[in-house]
Formats: sequence, C-alpha cells, structure tokens
Amino acid sequence: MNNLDQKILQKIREEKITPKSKWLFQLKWWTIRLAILLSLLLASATFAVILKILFEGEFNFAKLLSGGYLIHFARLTGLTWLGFSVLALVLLKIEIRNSKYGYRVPDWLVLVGSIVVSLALGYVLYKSGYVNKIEKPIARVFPPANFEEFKVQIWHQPAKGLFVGTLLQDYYNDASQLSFTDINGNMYTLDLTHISPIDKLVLEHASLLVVLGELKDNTITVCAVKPIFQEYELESKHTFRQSIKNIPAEILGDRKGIFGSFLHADETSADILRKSKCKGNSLQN
Amino acid sequence: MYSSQPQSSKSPLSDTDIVTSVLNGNLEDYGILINRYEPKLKRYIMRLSNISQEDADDILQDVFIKAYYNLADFDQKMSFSAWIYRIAHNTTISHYRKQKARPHGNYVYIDEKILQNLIHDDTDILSDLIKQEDAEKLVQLLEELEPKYKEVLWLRYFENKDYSEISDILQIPKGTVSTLLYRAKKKLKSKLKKYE
Repeated sequence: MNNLDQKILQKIREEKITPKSKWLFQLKWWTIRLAILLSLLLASATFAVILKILFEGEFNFAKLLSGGYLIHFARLTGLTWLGFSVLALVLLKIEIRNSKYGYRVPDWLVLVGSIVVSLALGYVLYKSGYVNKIEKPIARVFPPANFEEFKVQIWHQPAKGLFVGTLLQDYYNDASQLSFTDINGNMYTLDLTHISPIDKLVLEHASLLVVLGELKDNTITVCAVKPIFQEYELESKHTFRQSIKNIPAEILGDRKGIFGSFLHADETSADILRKSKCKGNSLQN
Repeated sequence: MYSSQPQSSKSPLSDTDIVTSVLNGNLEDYGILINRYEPKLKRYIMRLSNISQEDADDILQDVFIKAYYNLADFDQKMSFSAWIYRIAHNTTISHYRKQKARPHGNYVYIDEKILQNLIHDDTDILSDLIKQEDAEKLVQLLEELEPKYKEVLWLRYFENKDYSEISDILQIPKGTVSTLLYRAKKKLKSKLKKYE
C-alpha cells in the first residue's frame, strides 16, 4: 500500500517545514494592489497632461505652425507623454495579471478598463489644475516632456514672420514703435502703425507675445499680435478676455477667431502681409 | 473552531475545515487531504506530462509539500481542489521544462465513465471514435494536440472540472477556457478526419 501521506508528514516533521505566515501573503497581495493603484495614478497623470496638450496646444494653428495635426501633437511633447501613458498601462496590465484573481479578467477588458478609468481621472486632474503640479516637476527632470516650453518655441518661426518675445517697455498712449526682444535674445523695433484695437489690448496685458509681421532692417512691421499667457498669468488672461468683450461688434467684425490674421499666414512673411491684409487696418473687411 | 480530536472516525470533513485544522497545528489532518487527492493528482500529473509512475510520485510529493508550505494563502474564493490542481499543474510544467524533454509511451487508462463525459458533452466525432472502442487512438490523438488544448480537454473531460475551476487552475479567464475548448475539439475533429 502506498503510504504517501505518511512519507510526506514525516518529511514535514524531519525538515521542520512550517506553513508560510499568512501575513507574508497579505504583504505580497497588498503590495501588488498598491502597485496597481500607483500605476493607475501614473496613467491618469499622463492622460491629464495629454488632455492639456490637446486643449491648450492651439491645434487651430497646427497647419501654420507644424504643417499638420499629428506633427503638431508630436512637437508639443505629445509623443513623450503618450509613451509614458503606454508604459503606465503596460505596468498596470502586468500587475493586474499577477494579482490574486486578476487572471479571471480578460486582457482586453483590463486594457479598456484601465484606459477609461485613467482618462476619467486624468480629466479630473486636468480640470482641477493639478496637472500643472505633475507636468512641471517631470519636465524639470526630463526636458523632452516640457510642454509649456515647446509651446512657446513652436511659435517662434522667423522665416514665417512669427517672432516670440517680450516688450522692453510698457505699451501705452498708442505708441507707434516699441523695442522688442525675442526668446533668443535678439533685439528688434516693432512698427505698430498697422495694429488693431485687439492687438493694442494684447500689448497692454500680455508679457509674452507672438508677433506676426515682416522683418526688414531689424524692424518688424507688425501685422498682428497674439498673447502667450503663462500659468501664473491667469488674472491677466481673464482681464484680457473681459477687455475683448468691451470692443464693439462692428470693430471685431466676423472674423473666425480673434487671431484670424495668424490663420491666414503662409510660408513667407511677404505672403503673411498680403494674405492677412495687414496693410491698413487688419480688422477692416 | 476546529477541535483537536482525530477526525478519522467522524463523517468526512470539508477540505476547508481540514485546512483550518492544519493551520491550527493539527498536522495529522493534512494526511486526510493527501489521501483524498493523491489518486486524482497522480492521474492528472501522468496525463499532463506522460511520465512514469515513479517520476509522478516524486512530483506528487513536491506538490503536497508546496501546498502545505503555502496553505495560508488558500482562501475560499476558489475551491481547494482547483487550488491544489493549480499547484500540481505548475509543478509538473516546471518539472518537464527542467527535463527539457517529454517522454513518450506511458499508457494512461481511460475508463468508461470518462468516455461517457466526452460523448455527452460533444458530438458525432468523439462518440464515433468511442463507439469504435478505440480509446487508445483517442488518447494518441489527444497527445498530438498542443499543450494548451490538451490541458483544457484533460481537465474538462478527464478530471471533470467546470469552466470556473479550469480558469482557476490554469489562471486564464473563463472566456479563454471556452475558446480553447472549442478550438481543441475542432482540432481533434480534423485529426480524426486524417486518421479515417
């Protein structure tokens, strides 16, 4: 007769084998659960930044700035953050698969569920403003992820007549000329004789500007100006938007978007001036 | 709470009660579980890996030692049977991966009851084969299947496990069990056509 039971019990006694403590198992499963939670938060954070890129990346200017939506997304660090989100989702899948009963859930459901939950949480993070507390620290450590930085740089394309920079003096009293320095430290004089009331408001409220115009002999004949409000300038942004509302409708016209001049811009600065009807008042007709 | 009196003279305890008793320090009660599962697990190990009885005994011993060592991880969200079958499955796979070869030629007996399970659950193809009393051929055809198909068929028809238990043993979703079974039967059918 086979006495396997006695053999095994004897071996257990001889080798003093004892069952592993249940607390060790609890520690293992809770560690995996914590890892799942952290990966979910990571995925949500990355989706929050991707949403920020999509909502604040000015895709209406994608063709002007980048030649297409996908390239625009890529240039705004979208692919970097997409890479992070893929990594987070892969981690999530592995962790769920290795959890106590995670194998019972089909892979496709894990993936879809992870994406849905991460997107939902990501949206909450974006809307609440916490996304900025996520993006900045990571961007400091990993510069290719710096959306705010790339968003500024993407506008600076002198060959297309687009210059990003700051005024060296305050704008007031309908000044016709101002000194301007671009993000690379080059100094210019801005010829403001063709600007519109909206452009004047921009000059009054925004510290960082995009200037659309034609460069000749270190002077930029300005066709239009667009603000780039930084995160800390929310109040200025709000005041600016309120001021826009005070401009009479007949002056605003029915242009699509306040910065329609930029949408008309083309390959060369000469085309910019021609197509955007910059000479004279760009707001008329 | 479980008492410390020997239980062999009383009505059979459930697996869960025995586990609780063993974890409370009654090692002798583990012998009841061993006796209860030894024949089934041995048969399963031999079917899964096609090894000799002696090797199967060695693996079986490993399985019970591992089960004892990890006993505190068992909970009632799955059946003890599925839990220990899972340990047996993983230990067997691990054993023949180390061996890097799967032996052939060990006959595995199939009794009438198992054949009846197959007939009831499926179709013309298997019942034809069984009517021809060609159980040996059936086993040969099953052996030719890929491991993932063979495993689900063995568990479903030879070990009489339901889809939930197979899911827990192989650690795959129930939907995957269903898909694998469907494909396994289809492959068996095409092999049978070649055989004819």
